Amino acid sequence: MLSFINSFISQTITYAVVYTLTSLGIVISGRAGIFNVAAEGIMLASASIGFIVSFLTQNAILGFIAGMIMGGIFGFILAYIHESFKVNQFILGISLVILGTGLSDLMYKLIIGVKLTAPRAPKTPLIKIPFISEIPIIQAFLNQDVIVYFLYFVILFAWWFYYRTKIGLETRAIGENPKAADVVGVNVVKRRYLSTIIGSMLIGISGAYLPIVITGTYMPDISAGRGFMAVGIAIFASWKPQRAILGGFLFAAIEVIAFRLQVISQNIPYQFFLMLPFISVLIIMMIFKKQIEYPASVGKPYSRE
Amino acid sequence: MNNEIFVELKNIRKVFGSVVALDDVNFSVLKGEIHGLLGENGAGKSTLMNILYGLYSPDKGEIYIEGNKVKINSPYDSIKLGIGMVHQVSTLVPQFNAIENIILGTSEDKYRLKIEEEREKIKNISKDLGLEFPLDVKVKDLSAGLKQKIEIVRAIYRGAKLLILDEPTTSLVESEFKDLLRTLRSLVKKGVTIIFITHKMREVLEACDRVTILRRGKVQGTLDKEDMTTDNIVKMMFIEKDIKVTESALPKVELPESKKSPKPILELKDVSVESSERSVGLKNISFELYGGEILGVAAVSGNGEKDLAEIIIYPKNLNRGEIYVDGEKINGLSTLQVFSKGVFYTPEDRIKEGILPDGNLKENILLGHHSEDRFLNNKTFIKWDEVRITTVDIIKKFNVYAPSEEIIIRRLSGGNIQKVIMGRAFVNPIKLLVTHNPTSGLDVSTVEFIFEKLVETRGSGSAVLWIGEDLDELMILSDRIAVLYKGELQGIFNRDEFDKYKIGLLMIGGQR
Repeated sequence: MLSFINSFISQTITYAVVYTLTSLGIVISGRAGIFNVAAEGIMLASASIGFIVSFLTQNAILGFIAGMIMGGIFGFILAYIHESFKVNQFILGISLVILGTGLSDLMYKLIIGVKLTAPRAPKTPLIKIPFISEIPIIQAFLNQDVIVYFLYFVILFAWWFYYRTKIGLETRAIGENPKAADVVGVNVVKRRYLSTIIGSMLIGISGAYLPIVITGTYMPDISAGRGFMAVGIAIFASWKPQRAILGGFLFAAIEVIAFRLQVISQNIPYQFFLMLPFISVLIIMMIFKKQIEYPASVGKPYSRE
Repeated sequence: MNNEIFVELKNIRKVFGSVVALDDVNFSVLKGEIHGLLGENGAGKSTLMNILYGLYSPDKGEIYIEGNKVKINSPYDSIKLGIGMVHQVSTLVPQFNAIENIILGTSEDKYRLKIEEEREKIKNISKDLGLEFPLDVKVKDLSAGLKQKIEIVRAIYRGAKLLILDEPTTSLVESEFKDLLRTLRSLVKKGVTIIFITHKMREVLEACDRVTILRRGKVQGTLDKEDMTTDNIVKMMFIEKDIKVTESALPKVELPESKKSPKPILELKDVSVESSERSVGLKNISFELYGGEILGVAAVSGNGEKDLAEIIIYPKNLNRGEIYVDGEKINGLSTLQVFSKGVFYTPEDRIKEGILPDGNLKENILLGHHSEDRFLNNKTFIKWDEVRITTVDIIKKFNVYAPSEEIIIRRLSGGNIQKVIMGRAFVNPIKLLVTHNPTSGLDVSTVEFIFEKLVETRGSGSAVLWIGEDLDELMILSDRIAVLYKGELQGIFNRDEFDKYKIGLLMIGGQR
């Protein structure tokens, strides 16, 4: 039983990395007023480049860095087109999803090509804390790869940044009322660029995590809608970083449960279980509709004149 | 006050699209004075000050502060130069409390959030200026008057030597205006220079040492205290217009005797609306409104005045109480059914609620009349020719300045849009007009036109329910004024009992 719980938690955490990092990335840009619905596309493009780099260099960390850079590029494009041409954030986001989807397969086919046996990603380094990492249950949380530890750090940092520093307060102000931030001398455009790029970098790392850690190899449409689910999590979390982790773990657990049920049940078509996480998003959104808060200006362009 | 120039703007020009907002404007302010910047809506006052504050960049012109030429590209620069601005619309973050709002954006120590250390400093400043407000309540729960105090303290906290106030009295009542005046005087004693933007003459006469008058983007002149008379100012504000104005720069319109109808046109009995996140709702509202009468409802925005208008034109939402129009109960009716009883409505936000911005004039005139038989064939197909005739008629009768009835309405000016909305209300003979802030942001001649329309409606025996927040306006034209505060009726005053101070106090919840 204990080993079952351990493996369940451990597997959940692996998936939670994807959900939480992505939704955290969305929360970070949303706090500055940019609604990043391009997450799915960013994840796909980063998954592809991340896998390619890690496979060619046989170094997982370099793969994550490549994914992060790809995310940053997408973030820059998003911020640039929105801030310079005031293009609607949702239309722009969806366009970037399509761009990312196309780009991901294109890059893979150009660089890796078609192989008979799927190429494998190199192992991601694990971090073990002596003694503590051997205690049951806790083991599941602390016997993990570097990205999991990175996630713990980012969550703590994000919370500290937004609620304990002045620039965090200012960034939140932009998401609530950009004019208010502008008139007290905060550079709204610069902060929006930074937030969108940093947020998209996190989404990029999460995208690279899919082929490098979760599947071990690249396949088309590897993110399978998780980028859109992460948008749901960001909303469910009321755009609070500390709550994004809750949502991330919740959906990861649902996915793992669905995955396990799929293995043990024979009569129900497996597609039903694949659908479960998506249905849960709808149900959870309906239940928590009243509790959800938005930064008042998320999704709205800002210009002085 | 001495004669040292603190700020000087030279040859400022600013163009928005094809509109010249400011044309070769020269403006200077002496150290330690309260300088009024007076002009009609749209004269360019706010644009000029937003340039000084760094929100807009001028197309041409130079700015000098204490004799030195400066370049102001953003509020960040202007704050560093000691300029503070209190904007017309609150620029506080509604979700943050006063302290968070005040320390927002200050440049030193970017990372540490020193809420507790700053608390004392902020408390001292506000005590010193006599501007007290709760420090730990989210700003969205505070009144407009308190928000303004926070903004003034914020400017002083950040070391403003020049304070720009943009229409600071818009949402203040009489007693709050007096308090503001006292604050400004004490600021001047501390060496702060003040620019006071307003379109009300009386405020300039009471508050300012000198005044500069802007008209259509051009400076008409600057008057010293001894030359500041109503006559001089009116002459400069409305040169070629032959308009009689009151001290508040509102058009003077006579209210002739009218015949009150024997029975009320509109009657509310114990009407209540649940409060919600968006509004305070209404609590047991009862009143009667007769034909040939204008009933002004005075309320500071957000005190249930919108619910009052909306419950009358959409009584489907009415759960408690009864509403009668001309003796007929209208509970549960839809808006179109209410309109068919001879009621029409002009909403507060003319762009968002009053029109289809991308529709042409015909389509906008049809709105609200779209299920009337006169505009329909077989109750289904629109008779556009009929609509066109009606539209052309309204354009003529209401002096709408529009090239044709086919023009997209958002291309018209605010005043012309309001005239179309007004005209639409009079497509059919009406018994009751519900109108919410019909004059906000309009120039004097349009305001005069709308005033005259209201008086005409009253004279024809119809009733007008006029919901507004400008007490000066309401006092000119209303037969009676009802005061609404937090969704409760505070009292109804007859014309001979009008007292600006008393009614104003009730509007902000003061005792009788």
